[in-house]
Amino acid sequence: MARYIIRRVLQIIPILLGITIISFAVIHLAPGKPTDLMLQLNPKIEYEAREKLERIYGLDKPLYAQYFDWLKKLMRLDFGNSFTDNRPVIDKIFERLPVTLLINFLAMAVILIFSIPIGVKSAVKRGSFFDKVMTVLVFIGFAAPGFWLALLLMSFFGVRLGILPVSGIVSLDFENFTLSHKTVDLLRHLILPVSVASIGGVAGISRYMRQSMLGVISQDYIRTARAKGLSERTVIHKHALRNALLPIITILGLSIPALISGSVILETIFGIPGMGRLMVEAVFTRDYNVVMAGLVISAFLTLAGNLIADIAYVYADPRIRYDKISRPVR
Amino acid sequence: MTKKLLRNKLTLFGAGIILLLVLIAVFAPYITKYDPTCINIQDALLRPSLEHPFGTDSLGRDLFTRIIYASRIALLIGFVAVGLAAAIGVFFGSVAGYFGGKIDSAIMRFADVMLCFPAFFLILAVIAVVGPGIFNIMVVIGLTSWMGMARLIRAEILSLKTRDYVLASRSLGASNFFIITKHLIPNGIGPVLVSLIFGVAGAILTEAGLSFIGLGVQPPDPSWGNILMEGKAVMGAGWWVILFPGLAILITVLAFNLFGEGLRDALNPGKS
Amino acid sequence: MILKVEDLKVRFKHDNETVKAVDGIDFTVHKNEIVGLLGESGSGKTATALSVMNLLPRKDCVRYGKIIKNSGIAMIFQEPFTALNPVLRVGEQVDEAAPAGETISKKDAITKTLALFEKVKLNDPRRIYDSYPHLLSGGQRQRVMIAMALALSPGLLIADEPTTALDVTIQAEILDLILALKKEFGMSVLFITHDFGIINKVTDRIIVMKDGKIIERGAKDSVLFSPEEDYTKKLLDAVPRMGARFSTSRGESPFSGGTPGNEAFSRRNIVINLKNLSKTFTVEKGVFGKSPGRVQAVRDVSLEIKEGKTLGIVGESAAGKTTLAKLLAGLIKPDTAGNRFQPGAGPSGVKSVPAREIQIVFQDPYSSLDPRMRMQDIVLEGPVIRGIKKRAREKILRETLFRVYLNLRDGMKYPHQFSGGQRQRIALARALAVKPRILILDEPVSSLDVVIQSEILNLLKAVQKELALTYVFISHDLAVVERMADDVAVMHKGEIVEFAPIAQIYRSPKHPYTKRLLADASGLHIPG
Repeated sequence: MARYIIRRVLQIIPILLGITIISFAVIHLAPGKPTDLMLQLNPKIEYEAREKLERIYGLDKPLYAQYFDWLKKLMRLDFGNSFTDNRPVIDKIFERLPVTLLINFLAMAVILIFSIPIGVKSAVKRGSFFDKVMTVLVFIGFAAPGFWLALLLMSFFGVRLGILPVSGIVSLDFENFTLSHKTVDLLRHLILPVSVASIGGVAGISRYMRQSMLGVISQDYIRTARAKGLSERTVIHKHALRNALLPIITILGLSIPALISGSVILETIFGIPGMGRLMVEAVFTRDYNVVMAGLVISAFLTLAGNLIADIAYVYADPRIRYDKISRPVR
Repeated sequence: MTKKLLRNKLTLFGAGIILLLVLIAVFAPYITKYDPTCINIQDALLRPSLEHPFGTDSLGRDLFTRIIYASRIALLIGFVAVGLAAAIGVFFGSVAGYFGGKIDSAIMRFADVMLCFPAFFLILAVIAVVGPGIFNIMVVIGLTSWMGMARLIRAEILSLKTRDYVLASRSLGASNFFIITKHLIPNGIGPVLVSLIFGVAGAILTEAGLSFIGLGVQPPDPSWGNILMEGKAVMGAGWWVILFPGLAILITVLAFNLFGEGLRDALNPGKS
Repeated sequence: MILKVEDLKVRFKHDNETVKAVDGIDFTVHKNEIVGLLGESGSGKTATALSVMNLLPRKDCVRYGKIIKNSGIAMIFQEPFTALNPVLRVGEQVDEAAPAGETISKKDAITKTLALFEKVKLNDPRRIYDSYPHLLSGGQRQRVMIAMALALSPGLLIADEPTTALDVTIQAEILDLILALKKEFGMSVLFITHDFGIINKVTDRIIVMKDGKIIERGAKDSVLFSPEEDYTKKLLDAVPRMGARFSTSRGESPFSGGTPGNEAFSRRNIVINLKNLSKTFTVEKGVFGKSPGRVQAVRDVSLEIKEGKTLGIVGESAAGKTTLAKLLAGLIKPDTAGNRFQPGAGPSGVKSVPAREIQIVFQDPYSSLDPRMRMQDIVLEGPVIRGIKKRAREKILRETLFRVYLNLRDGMKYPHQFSGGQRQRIALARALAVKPRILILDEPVSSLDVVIQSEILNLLKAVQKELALTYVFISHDLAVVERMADDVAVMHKGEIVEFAPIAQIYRSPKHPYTKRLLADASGLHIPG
């Protein structure tokens, strides 16, 4: 088991490398130089000044040399400085990252809490009223754009009813609150974004859960369990559920990038200072250092999440954990 | 299989809506007499009426018209982007699945790396460099969503290439190209087609999202996303500017999803 | 009386059609007897068993009739590989099984389970208890299933084809076990199977089913050896018998169609001469990165295949027969270059033109035809690849279909519209369309019902004679091989342990493995 973990971690290294290469390539393969925008704003800059600027940023070197320079800095977590305010990129990211992570974790928790029971019930009571209603809701959840739902909810709960805050992560005078008041304030601000963020996930995962359960229920070993005279409840919860949950672990891992992607628009709508909004701002201002850093870090988060999901899966599925080659029973 | 497809009412419903949308998009100028970009400030933010079934936006433009013209863009981007993704994905996936070994590893590693990037982030990054616009979005979405289809066709080919009829074909003297094109792809394309339909839905949502934050279709070209963006600013004053474009997206994506689900059911040898 | 079934009817709804799986049957099972429920696929035998056990699917299924049970009933199934929950330990799954209404403490349950494991002759019961299903062999899993059934203290055990998925030697062991347990526990058994050999070995009474109805019933000997109904007679005729050609008691029977007994190898042309052929596969690294295993599928095989004759290759599963078939057909490359093929065939790899004159017919009629191609396109695939013109192709199509008794008009149909037997004919036609000299037949009839088997075997013999073909006939069923082969090679774990003309193999086998194989097989077949 430990050997597996080590192997997987080692396998990540080439992928990390690949991530850095792509992140670098995306920005640098475009026509023009990153400094062009800066200089465009002031066409009167002389040729020498332009050259000097390029040398400072290392843009006169060949592409691969630039890449290695950047990579070396990366390993020290130095992503360079932001073009907009010249602060170190890494600082800006560390400011924003926790918020995004918080929202996504909460969303993930909400998704799990709701989608698994819904999926199981839909499968066990296939064709029932509950199943049909859930199916309709799921389809709508898939098809409705998150930001639209956010707008609707905002206008309803926020503007009309006025009970939930519609922007920011904390109120203006947060600093002066007591600890409990701070917690409540934070939670109130989080309700809408987390809800909207989890709708797509609940729809998707409950669907997968349903499918997985249906697949498992038709398996031979469920027939065996029933033949043994076990109660239907035991059959479903002990025998079926454990098998049906296995693929869900993988699916969860695979849906991490989707959650992070969703952050972009959500944070923009709700005015939340997170990674997603940072990325959007960076795109508008052509702040390439921030963009590259955003790519690398978000991809890394996805990778980490997938690694955890893989290890969890291997642990959970005895067919893989106890591999025939290592422990045959004769 | 077609029988099964036709029997499912929801699937037919989805397909029907898609057809309707395509017709609306194509015949847009005949359906509405307004010009989608003609500004008319005195008619700003009118409620829905017979004259303006969906009301008007903050610049006095007929909302119904804008939404219909936006459907052209949505469908165009959806189909082209996914078509591109499919072409790339099927190519890479079949080559990887059939030849295996180092080629497979290399291609799949590449796909794995690409899959680590949250789609939106990657798309934003590229747009940061090449700028927004209809053509750019189409290409970017296509270039960043081929991985799913590549994996699908690769999985199909991996399992199909050991089938006896492939062995028989080889024994009869078939070349690799013959086997891939005549046996493997026709039998394995099913899941890719399903993925394609869902992909169009996804592309439409992505485009809407991009336009909503201003990095997609640029005004004055109408896109459901940028109509919503303009609507957000006047949220309190006109609920119709937010409701209708969102509904348009909802119905379109729903239609594709229903059709895709139906296709997936039809392709799977029946559930017991 | 343990079980009484009265006027049982089971209807399934499938795609808007109602299928009468069981159409009004009555029967009784008494104490201490083994009743065989015999029938081909689709006869309703499994549906009957599921009805008795209340395991019919909830949806789209209706059951009528009366079932009276006088004791607990347990059931074991055909596929031991999927009958156990893969994520729970095996012992725990047996612990769960308790007779209705009885509660038993966890500790007692474990003791009981371990005791049962000993009863079913599993070595090292504790280790088995702690294992997960995928770590056990098919035979072990089936024993676990039997233990699970016994834990329910049943008066009746329903066994639905429990040995069909197992190798011949294991089959014999499991059957012996069931017989022994029946004696010890005073259990009755309802044994469901399509295999006459098993019926002969195990049962007291027989019930024959067809299309959901009972066709004939009676004591075993009277049904097997003096059947009354036509259908039963037809079934029995089609069954391959052991010793039909080479019964040691009767000497040479008029059945022989091949080379007679103790002659030296005939002086026919040797068309393929294999020497020291080997093929090793590397097993992929396990998830935990253990060193890659190597499997020697084919080990140092030397064979001579004579023109116009049939070489039979027998062995159990995983003996290497299919690998050998693929090597012969040129579909995979051998390890060493230490082999020689005669002209007309080449040991080529996958990329170069494979041996054009060696073609192969596979076992599974369902996966050997491309489901998206029309029948005539399938048959003509070879000629199309070789660039033969349309007019000539039509002629080939007509001739080949005629030869295998298929209708030209069915050419536009797709594989799923044909039966298993017809699909094998299509596969045969496809191979014949390129005029091969040698035909490799890898278990060509193993997936077919007994009556169809017989038809296809007859067809194969006729075609061989007409076209002077050389056959390599691979099978695990010794009775079938007895019928078809002239020479026989016995394979075990990748090696040829014995290679001789058929009479010698069947009458006086030399290698201990061959002897064991023959003994087990005879026990499972009806004497000819």
